[in-house]
Amino acid sequence: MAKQYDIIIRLLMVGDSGVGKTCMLCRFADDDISSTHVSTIGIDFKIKTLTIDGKKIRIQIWDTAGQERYETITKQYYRRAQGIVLVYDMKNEESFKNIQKWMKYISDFAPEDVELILVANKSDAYNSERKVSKEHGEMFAKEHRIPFYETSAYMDMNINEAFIMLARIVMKRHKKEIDKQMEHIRLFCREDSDAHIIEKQGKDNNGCCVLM
Amino acid sequence: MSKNTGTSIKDDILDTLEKFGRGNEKKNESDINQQAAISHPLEEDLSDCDVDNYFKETKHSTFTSYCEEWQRLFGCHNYMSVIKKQGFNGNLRSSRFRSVCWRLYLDCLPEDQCDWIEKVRESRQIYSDIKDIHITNPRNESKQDVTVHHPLSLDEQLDCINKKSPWNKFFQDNELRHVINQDVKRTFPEIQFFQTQEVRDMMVNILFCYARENEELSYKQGMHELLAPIIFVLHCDHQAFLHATEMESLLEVVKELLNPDYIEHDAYALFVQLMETMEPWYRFGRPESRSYFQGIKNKIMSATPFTDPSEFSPSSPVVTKLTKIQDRVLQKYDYELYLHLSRLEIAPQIYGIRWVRLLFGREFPLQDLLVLWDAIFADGLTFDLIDYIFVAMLMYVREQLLSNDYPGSLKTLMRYPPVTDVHFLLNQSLYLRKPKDRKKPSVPVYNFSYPKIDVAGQSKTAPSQSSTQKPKPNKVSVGIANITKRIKNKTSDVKVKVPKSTSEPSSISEAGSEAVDKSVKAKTLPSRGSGTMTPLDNVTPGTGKTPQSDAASKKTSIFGRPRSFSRKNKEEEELQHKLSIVQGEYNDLQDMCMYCSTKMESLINNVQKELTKEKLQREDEIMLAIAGLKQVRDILKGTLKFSRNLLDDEDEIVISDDHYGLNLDGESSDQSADQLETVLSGDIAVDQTDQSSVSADQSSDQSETALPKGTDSTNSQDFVFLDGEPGNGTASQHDDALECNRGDKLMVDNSETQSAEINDLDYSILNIDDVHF
Repeated sequence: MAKQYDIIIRLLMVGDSGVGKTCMLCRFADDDISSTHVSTIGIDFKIKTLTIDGKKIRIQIWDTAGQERYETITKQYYRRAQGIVLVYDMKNEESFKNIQKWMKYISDFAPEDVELILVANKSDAYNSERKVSKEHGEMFAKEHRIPFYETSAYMDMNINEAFIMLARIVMKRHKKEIDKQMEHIRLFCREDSDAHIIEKQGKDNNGCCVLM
Repeated sequence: MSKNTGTSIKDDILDTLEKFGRGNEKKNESDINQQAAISHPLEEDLSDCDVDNYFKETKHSTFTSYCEEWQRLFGCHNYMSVIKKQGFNGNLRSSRFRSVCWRLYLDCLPEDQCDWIEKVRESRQIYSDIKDIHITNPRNESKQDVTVHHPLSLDEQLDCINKKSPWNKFFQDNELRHVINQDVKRTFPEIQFFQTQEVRDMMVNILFCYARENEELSYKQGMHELLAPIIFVLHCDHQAFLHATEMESLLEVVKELLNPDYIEHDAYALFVQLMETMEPWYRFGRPESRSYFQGIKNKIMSATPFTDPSEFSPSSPVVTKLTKIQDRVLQKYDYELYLHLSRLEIAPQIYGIRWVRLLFGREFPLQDLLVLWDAIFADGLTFDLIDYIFVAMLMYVREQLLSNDYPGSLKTLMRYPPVTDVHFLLNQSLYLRKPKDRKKPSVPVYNFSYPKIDVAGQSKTAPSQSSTQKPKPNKVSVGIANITKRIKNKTSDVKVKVPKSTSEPSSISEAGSEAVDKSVKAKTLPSRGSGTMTPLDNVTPGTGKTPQSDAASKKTSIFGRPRSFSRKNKEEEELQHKLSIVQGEYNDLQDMCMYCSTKMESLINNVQKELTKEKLQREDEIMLAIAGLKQVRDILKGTLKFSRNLLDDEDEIVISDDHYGLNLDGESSDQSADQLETVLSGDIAVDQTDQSSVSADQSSDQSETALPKGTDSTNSQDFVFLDGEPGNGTASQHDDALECNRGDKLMVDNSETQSAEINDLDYSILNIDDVHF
């Protein structure tokens, strides 16, 4: 039984109600958005395991409710987050304006070294429906020096890219610790060949036991 | 054949059908017809003609039974207790007066039936008025001067004037409507009824009016899913009513109560009453104090080592409630499960906020949900039953939880598996609350998805059999070891109120400690059978045990094991008795804590009130001290979970965790015991890494991104991990591996005992501090 993952990173999704946070998450984690057309109450949670640069990464993603900004309950998730996905709906200007407020909230409650990413969701919208231009989003992102993506959970556009980008920059930020961890793993027989030996030992023990 | 007058009619029929097939059925027609009422499963086997008769009769009696049902529910003198009973027993599932019952439960209707019509008219009028006030269009309203109230004049400097401008209100209203609409659109997407524009508009109107009537609370996400079932129930009753009116004229009061024209009004009235109780759980924490705490947060973090800033701001009522449920109610009824959740640090608010705020709306299909609501409402306006349903739900999935690590358990809780029989769950929760009044619910045999719930009798089955039933016995023994440990802690908490430095673990009684030791040893011995017995013994009251005091039930889960060593029942009883005494003392202590916290709270409030009036120079320091006091209060109250980890950082899972161990040299500490259990339970060892990182992190200090340091606990963790490695290799055979490593195991147990003592020490010290504060 080899390990299932090497490294855990914790991400958080924030943004106004109805911008499609849950849809994005379901698309990313389950590749399915059919069952998600309900509002998130409180907080939700999903896990996805990925291999990035040969490292197995287990991504824990916490999905918050849109009204969560006013709520104090999930502050601890902010504090523990290593990366935060800021989501707005490009069809809803208000949700874009509120990104500023979410940023404020993050700076209040999240650790200083948290990595951010800005996502404009619902890029499947018709041009006539679009209220926030790509340039606007890009400008905002540039101003705060964070990556920017236009995504569509519905059409499965850019979703993986956005999450993986965030995972990467989180890993980069924590490179030191991760490298050290990888070193432990390498040193302490966690590679497959060594795991095999352990398995064999286990079986030996097992045989012994049967005799008893 | 089936005409014999045997007692077991059902068996006879089955026999007959089997022996003689369908050819003989007609002869037995009348006979079977009589029996059909008793044996439902046979209905299908009846000849067509019988079924037809049956349905004709039903149809014919629709009207009469409508009136009859009304009479049956509301006809008699003490009808309130009748309908409450119906609600508890889940008998309103197909009732056509569920909405009327709800109105009575929720106090929308007075108990005196003479006042019903008047009251209903009154409440409808209220809603009409409210709607008139709030749902207005400024265009119709104002013949006002455009220069004063211009729709585009929203500039800052005019703000104070414009606050009163109908246009400003109009825009605000639009925003609120937008927010509400966003949720209403997403209400029960799988039910067609809620997708019609008519129903959606109705919902938006009601929620909007409620929000405007309660400006402070306004609209909160989740309210829409409380409203939806209400509208649904009213609608169903109206349909039944319309159907019945076609047949004949009805009582005046029925006509008035169930007038479909007033569905919106009546839904509002019900919703308001429902929110009366639910409202605190929709409140967010007091935001005004957040900035204040924010300001001093950093200082406090450095000042007091065990501060968790997230707990620092006053928690919202829903968190208080959830903490109470998990830390008090669950602890009382299923200690092992409580420990499991605590160990994984699964805070109840992660999954429970949704459970409570939506009254379990996402956890059950609508029809089952309504049955639950019947009981919750019937139980009284405080909805106390919620706590017990909550716990019953946790216990329902206990095996899934206990056999899973952090992500697995969380997934079970956040995507609650379908419940095959909601009545069982309901009975279970009613039973939990009043074990004396209720009969213990019998476990549904067809509950395939949850095979872990066993009947009491089965716990005596042969070890070999139970071992086949329990594929992962060691997880349970992990839990057992924990309980043992915790019980030791507890007992010394109660009895010895001074820090204990000796290694004498037990102060219950000699017999008690003996039994505890036995149970510890039991784990070390190569007795797989006895190990697997425990989970069965562990089944908590209701899931398959005779009613006992909680202490007693806990006892069984702990001392169930010695039974396999053929210990005498008498001795057990004695132990049981002693344990309940200890439990009693423990409860007293809890009460004391409660008293202290309440007292402290009021005193702190006084002090703070007075202080804020003064303009003090060194206010920060004083506030800091008060904040510290508040934390102590919260610990006493139980809303801030106390664990020895409070002394360190309680943070979990950090990327830099030393998951796989590096340093070999280390000595055992209390961490090692935990760790060992984790690792020794082989098959979960891999997943458990999550958890091990939790404990590792707890033991390391404050900094979030702390690297594994050469601290004792980290070392010991490594030591433990490698020690347990052989068992880790193959999950399924891990059990056997354990037995092989008996030598190692004994050492393990030693360290465990030691750690338990260390815990003793911590607990008692802290208790003293708290109590004498």
